[in-house]
Formats: sequence, C-alpha cells, structure tokens
Amino acid sequence: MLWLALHLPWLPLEALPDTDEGPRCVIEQRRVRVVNRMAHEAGVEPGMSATTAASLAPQVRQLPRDPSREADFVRALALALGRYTPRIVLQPDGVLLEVAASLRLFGGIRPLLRQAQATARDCGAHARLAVAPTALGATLLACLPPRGRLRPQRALRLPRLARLLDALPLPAALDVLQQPPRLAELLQTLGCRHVADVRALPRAGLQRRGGRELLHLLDRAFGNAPEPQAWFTPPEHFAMSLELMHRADDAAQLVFAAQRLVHPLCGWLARQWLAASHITLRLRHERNRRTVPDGALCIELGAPSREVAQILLLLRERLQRHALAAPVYAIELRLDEAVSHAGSAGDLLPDPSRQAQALQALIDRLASRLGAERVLRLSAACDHRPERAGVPQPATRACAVAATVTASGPPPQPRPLWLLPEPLLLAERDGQPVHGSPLVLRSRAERIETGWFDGQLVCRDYHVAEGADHRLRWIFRTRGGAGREMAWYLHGLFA
Amino acid sequence: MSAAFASAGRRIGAASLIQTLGPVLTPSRAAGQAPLWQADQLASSNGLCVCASGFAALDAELPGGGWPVGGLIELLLREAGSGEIQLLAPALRSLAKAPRELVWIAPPYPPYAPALQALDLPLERLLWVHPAGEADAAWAAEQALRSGGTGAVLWWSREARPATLRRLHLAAQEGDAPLFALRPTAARQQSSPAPLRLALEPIADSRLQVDVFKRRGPALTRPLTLASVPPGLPRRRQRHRPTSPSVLADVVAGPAPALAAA
Repeated sequence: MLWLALHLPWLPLEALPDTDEGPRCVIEQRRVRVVNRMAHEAGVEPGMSATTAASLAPQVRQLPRDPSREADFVRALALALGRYTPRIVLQPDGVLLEVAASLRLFGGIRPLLRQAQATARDCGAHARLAVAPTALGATLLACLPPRGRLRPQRALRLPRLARLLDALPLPAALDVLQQPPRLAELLQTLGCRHVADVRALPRAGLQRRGGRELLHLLDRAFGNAPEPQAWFTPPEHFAMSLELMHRADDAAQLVFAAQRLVHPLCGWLARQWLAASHITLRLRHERNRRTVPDGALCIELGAPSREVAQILLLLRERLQRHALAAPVYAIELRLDEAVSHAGSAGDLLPDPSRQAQALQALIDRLASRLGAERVLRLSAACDHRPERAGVPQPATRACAVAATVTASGPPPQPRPLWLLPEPLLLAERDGQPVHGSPLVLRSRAERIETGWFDGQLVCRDYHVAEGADHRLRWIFRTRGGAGREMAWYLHGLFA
Repeated sequence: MSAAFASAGRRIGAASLIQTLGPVLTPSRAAGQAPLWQADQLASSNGLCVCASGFAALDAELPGGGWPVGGLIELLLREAGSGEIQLLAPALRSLAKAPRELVWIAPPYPPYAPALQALDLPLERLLWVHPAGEADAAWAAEQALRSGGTGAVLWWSREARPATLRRLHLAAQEGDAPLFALRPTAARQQSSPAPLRLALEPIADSRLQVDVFKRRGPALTRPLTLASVPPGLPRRRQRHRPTSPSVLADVVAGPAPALAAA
C-alpha cells in the first residue's frame, strides 16, 4: 500500500463562498482558527481569541466556520481526485488516496504528485501533500512539514517513514492525533520532544498512564498495526452546485467558477469509466422583487469526452455567447447522459480513429461557439427541383446522412457550385437576359418540370449562360402558361 | 550561357546567381525548380510537402511542383464563380482521400451538393461552416487548422487584416493542411505573409487565366492559361480567333509583377 495524503490547512477559508480579496479569518468557538495572508500581516494569529483579533485589527473580517460547506468541499475534491485512484478516504481536513496501483499509469510518484497538486489547485484548494506506506503516516507527514519545506515529503518504504516520523515535534503531532492536552503535558514533563522519545518510553507504563490510544495510533502510523478504512463511494448521479464568490453579471465571469465543477465531473467520469455526452449548466439567478427562472445551458458532445480541457472549452464558448437574464449567484453542473468509454491507449503510430475524434471535437467546438445551425454537412437528395437536391444538415447529427448520399450518382447535366438561395429575376434587353452584361446561352435547354404531386410545381428551362466577364451562370426561364409569365432568372454560378 | 546571365542582370547577390544558373542546367524546366535551387531551398525554407494541383502547366510553375501542404495560399478573385473550385478540385480530391476533412469557411453562397458530386468531391468529407462575421470565420479557420483532422481549409474573406493572415499562416504551417484564402482582387495591392499568391480570371472559351504573382522563385513572366470546363458542359468548339499572344497581351497588361521572391 502506498498512501498519498492531501492536507488542506486553509480549508475553513477556502470552503466559504465569500473568498474576496482582503484580510479575513475564520472563527470557531470564539477563537481564530485560520487566517489568510493579509490578516496574518495585520497581526492576527490562529489561536487568538476573537475579541483580541478584533481589537488588534478591526479591518480583518471575522467569518464563522461552516462544517457542512467544508465537507462538501472535501467531497468535491475527492471526486476530482477520482481520476488517480478509485480508493479514496475522506478526512475532516483532507483526502487520502491509495496510489500503489496508479504509479505506473501516471508515470511514477513525482508526476503523480505534480498532477494531484494541480488538480487540487484547480479545485480551489491549497493542499500539502505527502506520500507514505501507511495512511496515518502520510497524514502526519502532510500536516507537519518541516519548516520552510514546500515540496511534498516522500517515504516509499517503512524504514524511511519511521525515520521521518521519529523526527516529528511532539506537541504538534499529538494535536494532529487529537490527543487530550493532559497527555501532552505529561509527556512534556517527561522530557519528550519528538515522537522518537515517546517510542523509547516503556510501553506498559505509558499504557497505564492514559497513553493506550496514542500507542495504538503510533503503531498504525509506523505500520505495526492494521489500518481499516472507510472508503469513499461516489454518488450514483453527478450533480454539483457552487455558490459564487461574487454575484456574476456577465456570463464570461462564470467560466472560472465552472472549472471548479468540471474537475469533479471528470474525476467522477474517469472513476466510472464513462464519458459525458450531454451536460447541463444551470444558472441560478438572484432572487429579488422580480423573480427570474433559472437559466440552463445544455451542451451536447458529439464525441463523448471526460477531458477537462475539452469540456471546459465547450462551456467557455457557450458561456461567452450567452447573455444573462439576471445576475447569477450560483451554478449547478449536472450530467444528463454518459456513455461507457474505456479511455484511449497511448500508441506510437498515428491512428485513424484518433483523427476522427479530433474531427468530432472540432465540430463540437465550432458548433458551441457559432451555433449548430452554422456548422453543416451537405447531402444530395433525389429530387429534380434544384432547390431540393442539396440538403444541408447540422454536422453535429449528420453521421447517418452520409451513408445515403452516395446512392444517387452525380447528375449528367451541368450543375452550378454556388446555388443562390432565391432565384434572382434578371432584366431583359432585346430578348436577351442581362446580369452585369448581356448573357450568351452556352447550352441547350434542360427542362425541369416536376413537383405537381406536392403543390410546389416547377416549370423551368435551364441554360448555362456566359457573360462578358466570362463567368458561367445557371439561368432559367419560366415557361408561359395559364396565368404565368415568362421571365429569366439567375439561379446559380459555376465556380 | 550569356542569355541566362543577361536575365540575371535584374537581380543582385550570389544566391540569385545560383537561381539563374538553373535554367542553364535544365533549360526545359522553370527557374524555380532547377536542381541547384532545390538543393538550397528544400533544406531551408522550402522543405515542404506539396500536393499536385492536377494541372501540369500550373505544377511546373509552383515551387516544389504543386500546392504547398502546410501554409497559406491566396487566390484572388474578381467575383465569386471565377473558376476557383475548378482549379482546386483535383487537389481537394486527393487531399480528401486520406480520409481527411475539407472545411469550407464562409463561402459566398451555399455550396450545392450535386455540383460537388459532379466534381467527384466526397460530400461526407466536406464541412461547411458559415459564421456570422469575419472574426468568427478567422477563428473557425484557425480551429480547423489546429485540429489535426483536416485535409484542407478553404476560407473566403472580404477584408482580412495582415495580422490575421499571419496568424493563420502560422497555424497552417503548424498543422499539416493547406489554407486556401479566397480574397477579392483589391487585396493584390496589400502585403501578405502568404508565400504563394495567385490571381484568377476567367477568359473566353472556358479557360482560366492564372497569374502566379508571388512565389518563392522568380516572377512569372506571363499568366498561365488553363482549361476549366464545368462537368456536364460540352466543350465549346474552338472558334477562329486571333492567336494567343495578342489575347494574352491585353490581359497581361496590368500592374507589373513585383519581385516575387520578396
């Protein structure tokens, strides 16, 4: 077993939605629990009483601690970290991952640590990391880094873990292990300064003097006693909401907040071997006198994905196009549809299926910014009426169409590449149609007379005509008849 | 030998001397393609893949013998429908074969499926994007080039800024697809980062006059004339006309081609 512990020292601050700039501290039982950097500079320290802090630095905002939000925050982080391992344990102020089986996949312990740190940062958490063969050992190392050390402590084997644990300062270690202060006093009077000193004491005597639990915990941390764990089970359906730091008046401001939801979503998907094909971002509007119903952005992924970058990109494009009906105070991300997806194996040679994926991702990206009706595929239909022979379809759902296309062969008659959306009535000079200049007919008439069956009758004689600029045009003359007049129309341009 | 050096009188520098030696060594080939020139160019700026244009006369005038794959190519048209797709169709056919996607961005009119079928362009490989504005079109072109699944991008642009062109040229170089920018003839006077610029003009008898006015190589002395008959249209019988030099003479008389290698 190899455990990766993430300890969140600033969890009470980070879990609160109101994390605007400025000096702030979190108060628990009338005492300062956590301070941010600006509050620290103002002289407020953890452990101070709230009144002292208020008299010392009145500008520091004091916020009450909110355990339920903290639990939600840790759960979101655990979901996001689900991509690294399915074996996760929640802790009150951190997350434990069992990563022995993940090392090879993520390229070793260093890359894994780097990626886990980045994921935590993207989720809005500043985590301290440590690796150890026991869960409690990893937790202790993560909570008590040596002074000035920023990089994670790593102990891959028990002897090194024992060396690192032995050097931990005692009062702090007892605090992490949640031992009563009475025991700390006792050990201090005995002259114990480090964990090693406690271990050197006679076991039986310490057990009698109330150290039974401490010894048991130390056994677990040093790998001498089993450590049963309550594994974290992710929810069956994914839906997660986030209260915003500030009221958002502009949809583009939501992109950053959405990132904190996309990471848990992708971790959840990775753990279930799924890929999202349809997600909804719900926007909760501020409640005021005029109640606005919640807005919703539905995003369909042509190529189901669980890549953070891909989903975030689609969300960003959609949000940038979206105009908010009212200021937003919370967002919720919900997974509506997912398909099973085994993940892609890395390989040496280019793979045609990857090219198809790249294309589908391109179509999704274009459609999410420009709108699905602006990214089209063409298909040919068996109809003699020119307006109906070419049918554009949104590319996001045109896969089925492609197969039917090739059934009808190319027409034997000339067809223009550019077909005008509406035929253009041409002027006539001396019986000759004019478009810029008089047009000379280059082909014999092609008569198209059909559509009597659905009331869209078409009676036209088509010609290819050339103007003085030598561009070729496709023109037709409506045939005279009962109530119809003869006229020339321009219908297309050859290119 | 002396004739070759006489034509070199317009140029300066040793590198151009090597260029002008080309025709001396292989008089039948264009100066841009001579062996000495290639040895110098393929290693540095010209080490690019090409895709045959399908017109032997045009291939002979294009550096490397075809459309460069991975770069910006400008085609200037007076108006839509000047034979631009006729010119590109053979290359597009081969580029779509991989199988890769042909992305058409902001064409002036809706492309018409039966005509594409007649040109033997695969409909299922063609993606038609019609964005609302110039900025969106340039964005879509860049996305298509960077996606890695496209065979060629055709981009119709009315007023592209040089910065946009440069950006797209870089994107096309990084991806391995050519970007054909179809622009109005007025753009000829503007500077452009495209290493290859052509002006198209339909002329009588279903022919297309192609002026390669910028390329990596010496300037083209007179425009090319290529046959371009839309499929299904019978070729017109040759009428007796004055012979080609005089026809070409009045077409050539435009702005004198600038030093192309610049």
